[in-house]
Amino acid sequence: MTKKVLEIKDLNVGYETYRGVTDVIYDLNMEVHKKEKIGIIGESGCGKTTTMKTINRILPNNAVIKDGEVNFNGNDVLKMKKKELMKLRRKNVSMIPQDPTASLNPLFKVKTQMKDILKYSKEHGEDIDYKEKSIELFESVALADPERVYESYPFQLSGGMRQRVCIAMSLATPKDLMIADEPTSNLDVTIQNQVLDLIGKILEERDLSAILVSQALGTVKKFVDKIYVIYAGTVIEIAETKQLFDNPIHPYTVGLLEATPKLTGGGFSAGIAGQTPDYIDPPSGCRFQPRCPHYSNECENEKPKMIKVEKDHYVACWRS
Amino acid sequence: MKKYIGKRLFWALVALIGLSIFIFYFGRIIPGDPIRMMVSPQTPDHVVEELRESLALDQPVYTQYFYWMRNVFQGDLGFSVYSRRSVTADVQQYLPRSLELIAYAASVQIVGSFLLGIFAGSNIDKWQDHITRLFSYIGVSVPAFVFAIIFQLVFSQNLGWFPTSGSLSEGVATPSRVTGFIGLDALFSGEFFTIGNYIWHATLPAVALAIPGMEQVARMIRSGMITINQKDYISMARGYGLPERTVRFKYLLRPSIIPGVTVLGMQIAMMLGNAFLVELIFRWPGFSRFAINAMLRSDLNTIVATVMIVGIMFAIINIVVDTLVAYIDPRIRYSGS
Ligand SMILES: Nc1ncnc2c1ncn2[C@@H]1O[C@H](COP(=O)(O)OP(=O)(O)OP(=O)(O)O)[C@@H](O)[C@H]1O
Ligand SMILES: [Mg+2]
Repeated sequence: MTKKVLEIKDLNVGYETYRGVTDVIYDLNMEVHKKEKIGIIGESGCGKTTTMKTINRILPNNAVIKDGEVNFNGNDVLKMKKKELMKLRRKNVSMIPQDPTASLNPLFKVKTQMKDILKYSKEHGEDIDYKEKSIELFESVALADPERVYESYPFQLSGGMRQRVCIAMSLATPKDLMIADEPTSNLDVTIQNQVLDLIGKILEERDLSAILVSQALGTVKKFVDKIYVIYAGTVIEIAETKQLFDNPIHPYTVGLLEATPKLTGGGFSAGIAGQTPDYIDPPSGCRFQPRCPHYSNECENEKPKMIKVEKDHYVACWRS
Repeated sequence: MKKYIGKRLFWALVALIGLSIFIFYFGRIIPGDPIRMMVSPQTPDHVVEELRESLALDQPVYTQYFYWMRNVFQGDLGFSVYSRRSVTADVQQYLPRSLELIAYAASVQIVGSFLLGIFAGSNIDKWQDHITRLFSYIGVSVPAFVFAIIFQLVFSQNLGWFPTSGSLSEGVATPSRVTGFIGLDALFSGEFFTIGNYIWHATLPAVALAIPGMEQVARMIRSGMITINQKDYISMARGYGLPERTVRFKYLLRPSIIPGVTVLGMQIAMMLGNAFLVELIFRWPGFSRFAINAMLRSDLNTIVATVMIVGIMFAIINIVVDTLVAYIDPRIRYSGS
């Protein structure tokens, strides 16, 4: 077995809200090995972004990390001091955001933001030519007219260009783990595939470990080796990509797959009745039980353990 | 950007002309005969009427307006029946003093509100935040003149750190008049002691005038920082490994201050009106005190001049604020409107 790059152990994260502290991420476990490409799928609001933001600790400040470990190359990120954390963010983990428009500061030119990223990455020498390096990065993500992009404010660019800028920023220094959090969900349908292909190409060329997040299996299946299915802040099924596609076991996974009509985007929860729980008072036992077509009493009493059903295929459901 | 400012200038001018018509008309339909108020009760009717004619007060309002307009362009704001000389002379004497006081108060307000706002916004829910919140409640709920009275009692009468009233100590001569602004005139003639003395006198009234708005703006900057801190682009900036001070003082601060800057402008514009009681308490020889007294005596030309001056202040500060906001936020600058 190759080295573990990332290991999340029994993670519990919530948010402080005016109604109290929520329980979003609930005993979540996950592993990413060196050069492995992981897909994470789950409905909107099931805690995908929250989990990803825990990895380099960029959660909003009303978030509460209650318990658990996030080990990166063996060091617990949650216990890291400022200096180690800075190093992690600069050298180890990169993030492609869900919403490129919201992820670029609207008041600063692309070049200003790019320059600071390059400057503080401490990867390039003092005498680095920021413009040249930025343009090189822009070219590597196939941005048309990189000179203009460099001089522009984010609002002067199209959505697709903004996402390419974000991808370029994430590539400013070579990293061990690339996280792409629904990188296409806020883009026009016509350019979603272009951006996905770009990310696929980057993954292939650079041989990174990667986590690709999506609401739909179809979006990620081309790129990833293994898939984690998340529901309400907890992992309910893990399998090799093909296995999951051919033989989904958890009723939620089945629903999710049935509800994925096209390759990219749109309307999955239609396939499963109901919606993600209220995280102030989530259902007891299996969090999916109120929506499950195969509900039985034991589902309510205890959280199902993750059990092996075949090689490289695990599921947390009382039926299996 | 030029087009943006040009457009604002144009509309400010339109608004000011509208304001002048409005105030001119209302000034003349309010009850009370300004001529009767200016002469003694025994004055015979024909003298009153002659006076009325000589001041053109017997003409229809629009004719009076055009006379007034024509004179304004010649630098003549009319005759004041209160001070019995030209309003222009009154304005030249009193306005610079108030403007200097306001400039001082505005500087205190700008620096203070930014420092307090950032201080609180960088330490949300810690003691620093609670202390500034306490200050804000006091600052927002207590009017400027109460601070003026307290400051005068404590810092000048009890502690003796500052003079109780006036704008220059006895024996300190007013610098020879170049601009009418004492601070500037003293600077031109190199009288640095005079400048210091003047600033010393202006400190308590300026701080009293600055405090209420300062607290309000500090609150806005604080809440701006909280809101912006939740934005994705801030967590992403942290995620790239930028140092916390770069994130906070560059990427977070700039978008956070926009609402604060707008309110700050309004607060400064309103100071001329708020200065009245403060000027009264510190016997500051300024325009607010003069203007209110003139108004209470239905001195028409002074009323019109005062309202127009306040209007012009608002217009100028509005344009400055809009320009500043456009400078901070490129989306406004580039949208062109
Ligand atoms: N700052 C916050 N304060 C309070 N609650 C939050 C905050 N951010 C997210 N949440 C809540 O946490 C839950 C999980 O949100 P998260 O963004 O992680 O979901 P997601 O799986 O990424 O969804 P999507 O596919 O829509 O991006 C949601 O119920 C959301 O409302
Ligand atoms: Mg998300």
